[in-house]
Amino acid sequence: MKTPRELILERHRAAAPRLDEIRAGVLASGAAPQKPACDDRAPHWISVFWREVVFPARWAWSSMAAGWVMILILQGLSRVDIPAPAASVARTSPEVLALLQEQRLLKLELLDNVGATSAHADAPPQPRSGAVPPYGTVRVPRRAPTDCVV
Amino acid sequence: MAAVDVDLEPLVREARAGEARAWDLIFRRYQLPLYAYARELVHDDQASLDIVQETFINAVRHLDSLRDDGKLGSWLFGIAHQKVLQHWRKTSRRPREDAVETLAETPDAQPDPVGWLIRREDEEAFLAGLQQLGPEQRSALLLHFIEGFSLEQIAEITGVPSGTVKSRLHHAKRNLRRILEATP
Repeated sequence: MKTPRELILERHRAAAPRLDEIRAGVLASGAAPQKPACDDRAPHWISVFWREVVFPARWAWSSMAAGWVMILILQGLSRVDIPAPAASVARTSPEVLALLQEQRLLKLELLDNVGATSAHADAPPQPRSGAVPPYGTVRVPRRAPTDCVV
Repeated sequence: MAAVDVDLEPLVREARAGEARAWDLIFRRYQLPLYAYARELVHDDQASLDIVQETFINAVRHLDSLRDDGKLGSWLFGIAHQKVLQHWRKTSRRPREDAVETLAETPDAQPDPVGWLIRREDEEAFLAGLQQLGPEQRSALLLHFIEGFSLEQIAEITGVPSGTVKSRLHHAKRNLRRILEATP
């Protein structure tokens, strides 16, 4: 009397030598990891990261990488077309500097005028007759009433 | 058998540490059962040897995915089962489906592989009867007979619900008994 296990295994026992060869081959091929010489876990973590994170979503990672490469390429191309501001500064001549200086002085004068005008605006209201006309304004004297003879 | 797997737990720990000796012992323990399982399902010597080899290589490469060291046996058979399915798909020569698989009958409450003792004169009939079963029933029965896996373990290995495994085992045993009883 035999158990089913004994009967089934006995039926295939003739394959044992070839199975031994396979076992030895797998062990010799390096598929079985060798004991590490030192406790260096870095390759292990890298392989785990690769297997668990990168490899399952490899198409998504590849697409994202391709997208970033395209962005960098486009950015590089667009940067070539923009003229460098430093180069224009370097080309400034003394005439341009003098013109700039003149513009600056003119702006200061204008700002002074604006300040005076605003100071007028802040003053309390006065009758128009008391208002000081701006410089250069011709004041026409009002004609005195005359006796008219009709 | 569960007790065998418990004894293998220290070996699994050593294998995780990269001990080639541990792998050698594990392979020695499972090479013949894995081959017998594959050979009874694919009926091809070379394909069965390839399945055992690929199972070993996958086991070494993916030992990190084994959560419970006590389930090494069912884990190895799970890999081998997937290889068998791949072989069936590749060759498109899957054995016929079970006709009685969907029948709703009350399965055996206590599956007991040890309770099956085959008389010498029934050995041939037993092995022949095994081949007359459908692939799902035969797969479940082989896992039950060869390693004494529980219903839950067989369900994990084959990727089907426990209730389905229970039904398959029940019908497989019933059919096998009928074949043996019919043998003069």
